[in-house]
Amino acid sequence: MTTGWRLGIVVGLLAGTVGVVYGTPPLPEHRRPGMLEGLPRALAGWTATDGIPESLLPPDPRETAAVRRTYRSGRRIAWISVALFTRQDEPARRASVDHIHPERDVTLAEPVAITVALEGSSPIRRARVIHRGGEQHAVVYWHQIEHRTYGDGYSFRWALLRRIILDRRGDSVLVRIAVPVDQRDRDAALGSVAELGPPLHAALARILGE
Amino acid sequence: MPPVPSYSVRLQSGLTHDRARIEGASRWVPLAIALAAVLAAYAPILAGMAIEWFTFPSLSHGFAVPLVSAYLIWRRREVIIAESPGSANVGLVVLAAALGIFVAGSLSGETWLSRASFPLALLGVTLFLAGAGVTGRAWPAIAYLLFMIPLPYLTLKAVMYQSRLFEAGLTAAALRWLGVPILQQGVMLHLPSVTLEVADACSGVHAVAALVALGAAYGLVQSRAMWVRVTLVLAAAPLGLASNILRLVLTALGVYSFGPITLDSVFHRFSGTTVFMMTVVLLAGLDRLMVRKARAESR
Repeated sequence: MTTGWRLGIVVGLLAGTVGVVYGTPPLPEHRRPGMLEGLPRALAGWTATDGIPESLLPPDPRETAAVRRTYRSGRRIAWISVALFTRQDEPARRASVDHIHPERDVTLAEPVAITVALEGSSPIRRARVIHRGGEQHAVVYWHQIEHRTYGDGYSFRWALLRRIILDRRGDSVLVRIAVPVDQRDRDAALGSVAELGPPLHAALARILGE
Repeated sequence: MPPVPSYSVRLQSGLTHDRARIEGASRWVPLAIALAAVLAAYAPILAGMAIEWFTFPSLSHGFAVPLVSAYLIWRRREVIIAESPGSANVGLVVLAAALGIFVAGSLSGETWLSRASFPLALLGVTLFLAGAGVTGRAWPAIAYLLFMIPLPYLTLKAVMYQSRLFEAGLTAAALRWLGVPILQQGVMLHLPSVTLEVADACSGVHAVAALVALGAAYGLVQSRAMWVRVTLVLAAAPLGLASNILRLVLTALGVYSFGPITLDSVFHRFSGTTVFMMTVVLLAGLDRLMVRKARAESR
């Protein structure tokens, strides 16, 4: 092969790449109005009212839609935020790691082990106990694409990349559960999350799969 | 007395020499065209990176990286030109892989992937159009370009929090050792009169990327033994963190002794510059120590 041919191949490859990169249309919006409102208000014995203290689970300005509810079961309480993000081929439309849990005036974001077993998906194995102003609350979160869940940012981004390229879809939800933590009985708080997580995941899988 | 060549012989010899030079230079034209095409294809990616270098002071070393890389090529130009240009078909595979990563990163908005594919594309083109010999001489300059790529925010965020905790712990330990009454709670340092937070901006991680780039440039440019070069690169990050901890300790001591006015000092406000300068001094000191040791051993 002559040098001229080699140069032609290189220039051709580059031209093709530029054509694909700059000629591919942006992703379409995948969003049904009010889809997240279909999240049941009764989940495994927990019942919900609208709204949560936003200082515990801060809203992300990049979310397309969200429901935030306070679930109660007897004397137990849990705050839930489910936020939809669409067209995440634009980096500025992805969930920000800065808004998953509060960061201001936080003394410590302590990683703790937990197992939230989710049907048909990998379990969530990590929570963070947020120490702020003498109070503590645990936050568990996962990204969800249909029924599949991702507890860490890297595996989620890899799954999202494949979804964007292969399925031409860039929508996912970020699910966050927060519970107050009594320092004397941390296991009880984490137990609430482990109890509420699976029905929440299943309900969302049904909504996202429709 | 040697015979003096006639005018016609000298002219012929000059023409032959010029022709050889032109032919020698023309061997590099296809590579130059291909590299220019790569630059053109990546222009929007490179422009986006330059905006980040300009916007965030902790990334401003990015402007220096291509210049250092070009200097490394310039320094090696004699040995690169001396290599006979060839071609390695594996370069086409490397280029195709780089462009695949570029496409995947661009379509999915994974900016870091698109950026990281740039040095790989340069490597592929060099291999394919100039061969393994030339690439073997030029690869350190191409690899050095990796230092201009900002870390993914996901990684930076995770590392930064751990770094803040680590630095707060060591700062508290140092202050206790110095007899300062202090209570550490995570990233908070409670002094008798004031509470200090080791915030994101206080983390030494911001300076580490620049310092490692500096250590690598220093190691590549200086004529040092390989072990000295490697040590300089590896030492840049820990020395950067040590400098930042020293800065935090001195700031906390200042607050304890003179009050919160210390937080308005140049020393605290220009934290990145302070850490960078301290680390440069420490790196230069380490280099001198190692050079002395190497000399002593060779005697």
